[in-house]
Amino acid sequence: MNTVSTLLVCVFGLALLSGGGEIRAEDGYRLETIPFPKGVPPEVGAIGFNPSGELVVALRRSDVLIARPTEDPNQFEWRLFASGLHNACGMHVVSDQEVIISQMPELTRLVDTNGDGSADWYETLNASWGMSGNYHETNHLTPDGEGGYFLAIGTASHNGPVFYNVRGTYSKTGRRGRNYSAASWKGWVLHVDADGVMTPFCKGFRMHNGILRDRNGNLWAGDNQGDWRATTPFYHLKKNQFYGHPSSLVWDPEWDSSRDPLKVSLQEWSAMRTPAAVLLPHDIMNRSASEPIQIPESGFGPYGGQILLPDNNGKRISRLMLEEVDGQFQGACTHFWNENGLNLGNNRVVFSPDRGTLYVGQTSRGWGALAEGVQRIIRTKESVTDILTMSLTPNGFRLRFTGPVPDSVRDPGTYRMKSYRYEDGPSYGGEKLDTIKVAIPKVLRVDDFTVDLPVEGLKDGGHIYELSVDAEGLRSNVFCYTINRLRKE
Amino acid sequence: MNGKTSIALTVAMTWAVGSLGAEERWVTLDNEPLGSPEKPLVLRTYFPDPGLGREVLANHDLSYRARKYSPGKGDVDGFDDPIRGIPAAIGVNFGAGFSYCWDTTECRLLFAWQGGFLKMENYWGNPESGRRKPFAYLPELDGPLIYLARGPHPLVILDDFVESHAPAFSGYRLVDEVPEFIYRLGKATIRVRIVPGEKPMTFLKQYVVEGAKEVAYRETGYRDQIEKETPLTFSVTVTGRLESESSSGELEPEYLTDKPNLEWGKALYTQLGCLACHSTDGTRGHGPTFAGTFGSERKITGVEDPVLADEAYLIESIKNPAAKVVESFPPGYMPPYPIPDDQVQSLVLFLQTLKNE
Ligand code: HEC
Repeated sequence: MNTVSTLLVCVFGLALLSGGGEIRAEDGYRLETIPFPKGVPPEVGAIGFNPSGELVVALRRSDVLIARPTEDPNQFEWRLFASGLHNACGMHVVSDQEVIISQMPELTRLVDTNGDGSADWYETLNASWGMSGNYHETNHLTPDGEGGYFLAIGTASHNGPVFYNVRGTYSKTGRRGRNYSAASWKGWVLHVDADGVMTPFCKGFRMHNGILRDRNGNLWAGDNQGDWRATTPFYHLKKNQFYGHPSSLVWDPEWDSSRDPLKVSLQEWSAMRTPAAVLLPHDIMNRSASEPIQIPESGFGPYGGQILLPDNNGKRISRLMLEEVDGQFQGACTHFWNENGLNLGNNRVVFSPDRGTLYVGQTSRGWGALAEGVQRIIRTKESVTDILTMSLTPNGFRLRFTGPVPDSVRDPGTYRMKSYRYEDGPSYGGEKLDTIKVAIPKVLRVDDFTVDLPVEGLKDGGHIYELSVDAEGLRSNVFCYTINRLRKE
Repeated sequence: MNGKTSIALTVAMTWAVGSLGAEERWVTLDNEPLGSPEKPLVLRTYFPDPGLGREVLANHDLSYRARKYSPGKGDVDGFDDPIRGIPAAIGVNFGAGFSYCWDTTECRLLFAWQGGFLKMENYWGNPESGRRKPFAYLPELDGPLIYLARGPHPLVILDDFVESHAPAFSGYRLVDEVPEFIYRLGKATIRVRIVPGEKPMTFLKQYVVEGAKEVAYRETGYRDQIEKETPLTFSVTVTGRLESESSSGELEPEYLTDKPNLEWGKALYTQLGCLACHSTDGTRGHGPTFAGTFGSERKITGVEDPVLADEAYLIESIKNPAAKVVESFPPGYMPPYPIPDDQVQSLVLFLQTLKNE
């Protein structure tokens, strides 16, 4: 432990001497650290790009800063665009003069009306959710494509109190539990239209610290492993659905408000809830899902259209491979980036306008050890060899590679597979259950890019199939596919 | 040296590297940020509640103590009590001379103080460890209070029948660097800007009201001097005084209960600020006395026959005072109390005991 610390100190120390801009490379990508102005803690609550190509960063304490990216990560010249915000958590940049921010208390439009470079009009667009005063009730936004927003409103934590005077309505039954929904609409996704009118959209979240409407109009949110989440889930969001964390039910007009949501029977609970599209095993993949982002069709390597899901409590960014089976989304996950210079606390992400760089904003949000900063992952000219997708067939899995199937992965001995499942419940997190080894007897060629791995006795209902590929030269080696439904043909 | 702290320190130090823009006034690792008279610092954050009455926070809901919960065992012994904070206010600091806290839920000035602004470490966290103070993460006021709001909202729209007293916050503009808060009340739009006064302990509230014809202004408990440019554009000079922070209005634990009861009702009468307008001894105040109300016939504005003040009438009067306005009292003066039913019931139990003396 002590040697590791010393080593870390040395690494940081070196970074300090060389001016902060640490550089690490990985097949096809390069990671750089971007320093901040003197004394300004880069506790990144939200991040975006404005139309003239400047990076816009909202910080937890108050400020929104802007800088034009430079090739040298140490040359960013930051200026102040806005200040005074309470824990900005979500951002949508509308123009060089206008930025929409979801901060702790409200959805706010920041406008520079006189063109002097800083905002002078802070318009409240919507403040329809409650505030219990608990520190944990952060939020996030994604544009609805029609001038409005979907907002993910997080719950409170039993590691903090509520205030005696709360904004919105207080619920005694919602106040119970580890993570709780004591004030209006905590644990919900809300829709606010272009006129600022709020309609509740779906419910059952614990800490959906990141919501995305993708280019096909699908809505997604991850959540944090914890109570009612045995491991980190990733959900496809649909209107009126319930995603499993019960406290938020107290705000459902159809719920009897005197009924304790924690006392629903597991049977009733399973019948009500919509399972995750993808489960990310907590230990090896992702401890705390933050902002999902869809990879551009081109410009950032071979993974165009897939979703990246940063880990707010791990030095990694997960890559999701989704597909529709029997009319529902499910799929696999792997690491897009794991360790190798990436900070902890990966919270918010944005692609540069040229699509070649992913900017990652980090913060532990004051909830844990410091993990603050901005880093960027740049696509280099190097080619990438990887498994592009892992998908389900009626009798096994199909792997599609980014190029011709490498010789190293044609032998069944290269693959190891096990399956397990999780059970959600009121306690924090959960163990892997029913772990068994799964045999992969052969590797079948489908075409130059694709192989099939036949597997017997596939089980649905949330079983995870963890595949390890023991081959040199692949960017990713571990893949976890969540089977909610079997593929019939 | 302990390994963990040394990492934290180094990380904190790497923050100090980087290129500087022009003269900027960012919020930094300094947990005691300050503005100046020329460029005040505006900061939205949680605020401590230095002893505001329920009549001031009438549009907030009340929370209760909650049983401690263990994810493994469910309910366990002991309670978590609420703490006294303001969830959605905005702070403004003009340097050492003057700071205030303006609330976006009540749309009014809650309190003002002198000296420094806020000590943010409890909430923003310690620069080395990054951690905030777990159960008391409220910022602290860095100086003595000179104003603490009392009584109902000082600004009343007289011409229009305002059904709901819940104001709606629209945002703020920086006018010469000082925020001008904008909110709506019924059809009216109200803009207010607060700046330090010329004399010590004084400050100015500059009001512009649109969409109304007649307004009244009255500060409860402080000297105010009103200068009208027009009936709807005016500025109020308020003279503050040193106030001590108090925890008045705190509910006693035995009233934090699910079942309506008389004791609780009696306490709520004080804590919710009913006593500011209603006496229990027969004297007339801003509102009718409560003595002998229950069971009597009430004369209602615009209604020919008197109405019996039964239980249903009392409940309606508390939840929706605009529904029936007692004759000779102004409409829209009493704020509606959107409080839980058990509290309303407790108040009714209390009102039923008050007989004519
Ligand atoms: C800002 C002053 C104010 C406050 C504070 C206030 N009231 Fe009132 N109340 C009035 C006025 C004025 C009326 C008469 C006009 C009306 O009926 O709306 C009234 C009427 C009533 C009535 C009907 C009385 C009657 O004579 O028929 C009841 C009951 C009542 N209030 C209860 C309460 C309770 C309970 C509280 C505290 C939770 C409260 N009020 C707080 C001003 C106030």
